Amino acid sequence: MLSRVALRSLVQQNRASLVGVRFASEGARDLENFPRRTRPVEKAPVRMGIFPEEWFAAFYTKTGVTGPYMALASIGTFLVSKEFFVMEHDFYVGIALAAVLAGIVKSAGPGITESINKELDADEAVYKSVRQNEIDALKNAIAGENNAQANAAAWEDIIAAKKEAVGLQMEAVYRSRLSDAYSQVKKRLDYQLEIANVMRRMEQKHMVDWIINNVKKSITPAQEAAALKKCIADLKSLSA
Amino acid sequence: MASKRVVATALDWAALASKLPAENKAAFGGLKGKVDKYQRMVNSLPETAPAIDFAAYKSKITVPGMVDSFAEKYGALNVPYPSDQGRLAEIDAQAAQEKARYTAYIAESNAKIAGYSAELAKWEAMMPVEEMNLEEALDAGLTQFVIDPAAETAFPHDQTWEEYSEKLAKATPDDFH
Repeated sequence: MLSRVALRSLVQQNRASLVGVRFASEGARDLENFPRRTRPVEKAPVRMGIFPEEWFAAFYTKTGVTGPYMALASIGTFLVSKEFFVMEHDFYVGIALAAVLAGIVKSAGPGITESINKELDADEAVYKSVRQNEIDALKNAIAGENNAQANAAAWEDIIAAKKEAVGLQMEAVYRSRLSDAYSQVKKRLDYQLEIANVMRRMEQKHMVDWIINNVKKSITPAQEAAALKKCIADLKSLSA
Repeated sequence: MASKRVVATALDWAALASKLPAENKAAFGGLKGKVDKYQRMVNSLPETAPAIDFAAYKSKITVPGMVDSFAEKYGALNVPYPSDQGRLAEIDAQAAQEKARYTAYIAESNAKIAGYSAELAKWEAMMPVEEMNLEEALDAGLTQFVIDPAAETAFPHDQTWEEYSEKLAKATPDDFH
């Protein structure tokens, strides 16, 4: 009668949440009226460490907020006064035990809770990883395939690069042909220019030499003697 | 192709290099080297035939009519653009081949992606493994957590019946202690 489930239905609390209707052999069970059972992870709410919340909720409609406390007090008083609950040695030892246990739980409790939770989390992570690793691996595989497809499209660019290589080579040959033609023509013209220069220089030199030789030949001995005499007379007049 | 003269690259070589796998890097380097070499040659040479100053020569050269005939002939000079000697047609044939290979590869790749997507859908639709009970795990196919009754193995469930019967057939009386 005092079971929590019975009281829960008595006060019309919400049912445990559905985990979802993703049952592999779907159709074999009515999951709305008979939802999948889940184990509760947190402890049920209690007051004063031992009295379940459901008792307090059950009393609330009839006796308000103080109802359960009054009930506890009055029932407790009744039991003690009629000596149904005998205050003997075990009771006092029990109080001491409760104090000691409370002390132990308060001091060592959080540490133990943490380590147990860590173990449980590790176990849960193992289970989670089964599904998650598969999902991650498949997603990576799909991304890798997409990447490979994008990279494979590079063949077009390679073809274009090859055509560019050929085109540039042809252009280089054409330009070198042009500059070859230019240099050949220029070479011949420069050669003719040099020949003309050399010819003129030779003609000039030859003419000058010929003129000088002829003048030298035309000077007679009589003229030479007369020129010498004149030079000596001029020198005498200069020195005087 | 005679109408279009290639004077510079129009490709993004860095992007192209990043798309190639490591095994092709050497060949790609060779291709890029060639393109760079010809580009340098093209850049170093003049684009059109350089002009010759015939008037200066005319006053100095004595050979009659030479400068005039040279001027006339140089102006009328028509250097032929070199032919590609069938290379571009070869490259086009290669392009057709590559395209066929590419479409086959894409088809294969897409088939693989479809397979992966189907499996991905199955795994994503599965309920979280940490909330399964053993029956649901068996239904989902996770036999690493649950012994499959349909597999018909006996304790300790570490070998199939076939393996066990093989072992039995080869066994001597000393094997089973």
